[in-house]
Amino acid sequence: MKVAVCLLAVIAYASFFSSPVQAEAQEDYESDARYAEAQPPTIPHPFRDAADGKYCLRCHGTGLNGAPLSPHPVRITCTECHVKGEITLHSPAKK
Amino acid sequence: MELSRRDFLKASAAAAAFAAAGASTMASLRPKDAAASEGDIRWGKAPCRFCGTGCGVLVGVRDGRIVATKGDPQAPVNKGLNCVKGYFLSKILYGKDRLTKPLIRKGNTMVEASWDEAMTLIASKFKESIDKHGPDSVAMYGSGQWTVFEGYAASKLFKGGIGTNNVEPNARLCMASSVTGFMTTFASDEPMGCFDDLDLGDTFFLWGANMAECHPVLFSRMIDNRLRNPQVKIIDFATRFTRTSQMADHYVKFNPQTDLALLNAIAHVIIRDKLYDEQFIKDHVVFKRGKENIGYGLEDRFKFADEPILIDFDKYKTFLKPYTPEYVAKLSGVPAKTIVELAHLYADKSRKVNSLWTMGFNQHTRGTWANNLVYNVHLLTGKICKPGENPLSLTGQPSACGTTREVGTFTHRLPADMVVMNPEHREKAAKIWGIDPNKIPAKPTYNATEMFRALDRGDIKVVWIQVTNPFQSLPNLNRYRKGARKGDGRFIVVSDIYPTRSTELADVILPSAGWVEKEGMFGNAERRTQHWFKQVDPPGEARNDLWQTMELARRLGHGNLFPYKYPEKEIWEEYRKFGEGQGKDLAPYEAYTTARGLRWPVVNGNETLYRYAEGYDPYVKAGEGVKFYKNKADHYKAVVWARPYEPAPEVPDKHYPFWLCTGRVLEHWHTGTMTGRVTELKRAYPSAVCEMHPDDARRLGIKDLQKVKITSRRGSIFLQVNLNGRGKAEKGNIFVAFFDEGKLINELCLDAYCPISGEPDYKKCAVNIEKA
Repeated sequence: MKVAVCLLAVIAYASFFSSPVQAEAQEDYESDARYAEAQPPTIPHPFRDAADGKYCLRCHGTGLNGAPLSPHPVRITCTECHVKGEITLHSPAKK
Repeated sequence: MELSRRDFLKASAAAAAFAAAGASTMASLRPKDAAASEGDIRWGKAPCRFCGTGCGVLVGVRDGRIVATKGDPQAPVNKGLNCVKGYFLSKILYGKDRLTKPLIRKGNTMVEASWDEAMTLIASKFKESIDKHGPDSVAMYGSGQWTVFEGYAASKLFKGGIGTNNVEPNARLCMASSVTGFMTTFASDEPMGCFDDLDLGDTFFLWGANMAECHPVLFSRMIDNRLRNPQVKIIDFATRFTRTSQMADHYVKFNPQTDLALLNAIAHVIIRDKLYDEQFIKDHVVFKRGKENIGYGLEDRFKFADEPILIDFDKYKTFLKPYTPEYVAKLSGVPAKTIVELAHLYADKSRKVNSLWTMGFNQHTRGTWANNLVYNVHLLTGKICKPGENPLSLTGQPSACGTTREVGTFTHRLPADMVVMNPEHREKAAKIWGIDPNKIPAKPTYNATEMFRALDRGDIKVVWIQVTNPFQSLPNLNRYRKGARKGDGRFIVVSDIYPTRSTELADVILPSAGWVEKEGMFGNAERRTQHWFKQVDPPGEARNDLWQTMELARRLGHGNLFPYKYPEKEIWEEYRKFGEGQGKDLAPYEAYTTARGLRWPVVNGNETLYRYAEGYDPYVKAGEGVKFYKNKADHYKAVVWARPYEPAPEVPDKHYPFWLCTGRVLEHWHTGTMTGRVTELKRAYPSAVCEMHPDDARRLGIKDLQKVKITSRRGSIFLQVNLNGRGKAEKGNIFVAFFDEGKLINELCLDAYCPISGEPDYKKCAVNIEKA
């Protein structure tokens, strides 16, 4: 329930239409870099190669099985950034 | 399942951060404790080294080395998001085996040499061949990953200095059909829309384009749109089930090649059910028909010239009569009901409809026709040149647009859509280049495939290959690999950053600068030209390709063509002159050094988001509405082409019963020379596999992950089978990615090409599969 409320809050915020405003000439790359995102963590457990947000967020959207919570659960094309890494954990629990 | 209070707060903070950062799934999060300044890291901007999306990245350098890259939050293309390849850009230049010294072949060994030795040898080989066999015996094979400057210099040297049209890019293998589609329909290359259409549209037809893996950030923009707007529909027309299909609202599988028939069937229904925009057609469309049964480019020196005739709307309607939903359903495997439904969706006046495609349409023996046919649907319904509603040809490489298509590094081209066949165009180019107009030959020579056929035959002796890997990427690869090493005066120079399947066939290897090791500009799929400054030095003695080309020019007596002190900027300012006033206007150099790219035409400092559209395109006057102003010959109208369905040249039969399709996967770029050297990417997808349908496997007694032998009339290969991966082949089809340098799948491909564009079909040939 709390998850749903949470997600709804996120979606409500995210429904604010974001138009692609042309950036002003800006050479302060350092400030941008400070909060820009770097390498996404690789996946240390086996997973379906055809995984998508629905599959991943079962654990990473809820904390199930001690999975770290996704900081951006609105992003659902997970495997676009998170790829298979060194496998160090058991398979996630069966749904 | 219960969320702890701590977790709830964490997630709320994330939501708040989203709102703060711009309220899109794509915007970067501002972490609660912003990382303290990473002090001694110097940051700069650059477009990503990989695909035609052209994501912005921030490059962090410390002690002369790239230590980090991040998604650029200020970049309008990607708003801080990258795909996994982009996120590992900091590693692509640091593979252990970077080329650092020129290498000259002595027998079977490559021996280190100085630049002077290497360039002296190369120049002498060029001179010798030109003297003995004429200027058409030497050639340059370049790339959609060339910077604008590199492409311009190559074109200027070869066409304006040496006097040969033997300049071709690898973009002939990926975007040529898109170009000829644009030129025959609109008389001008490149899309009228832009990536904003992904945010503003609500209906997206994908045609043979696995965007989730091949244009991931653009796919994210579309998915983000759908998240915010539940009426958004994504329809995936494809020959195999991919991650894209999985996320689409509707997966429509069709038999290979029948895209032509499907597009005609959709047009047929739109006409039949009177869903077309009569006024738009009256104002903005002419109808034409060309030659049919036009061949497949299988014979050496194949030549084709279309003979278009003007027809009218009635004749076009008659032409479409056979393409009933029932007939096309039999041909394509798409149910008639679905065809009608989707035709109605295309024409739905309450929807903003977009079509997107890449290699499914372009790498096609009727690729030009496929491009024409998708434009037909948009032109018949008037769904074009409107914000949120356009056909969008997606470009694969980072600068196939910016360099090869806009600078014109093809055999028949000059900058700004101009062609060598036109004496006025040659005159203009000669004026800007300061040369005798008779220097530029009036006749095109070879497209890429024909160029390597000529090398095989010995009609071309000397080839310089820059920033591309043809001896892994050409179709019917065995012929061209053998051709390169036939001796008898043949001399191959390869400029690259790593050893590849092409450097291994070279006579001279030149160590080159990669990406931010040189100053550069790329132009992406939405006409956005982006600049970056050099941020680190290349390793060892590696030098950038622009210097290499200018150095050869100097040694061949054409140094006068490159009298630059600041070559990159001066080349840009010279190149700009071609497009000025032509609807291809580019801004002055400085504008790009600060902007996150600018979409041309840039007039009076203003970008153009929508070409041909009043209020957006400065070339369209008030009251003109939509004007295809580059097509003077057809009174500024676009062309709807009557193009038929024609089968592929090689279809499955008793001996070779499967279709072979090739392509890319997310983790690897093209021939994997960069991504294959990044641990995280290589580990995620280590080798090429054969995607196959479980029923076919069962029938042949093949189990998942077993080894199979795949054979075509041209070659064979051993691969592991994958019955349950991210992509799922349909029955009678297999799919193999081409990134694996140990698995040269292109040896099996057929070098048939679209007669109009010269682009080979990597998606269709016939193979046999057996247990290994």
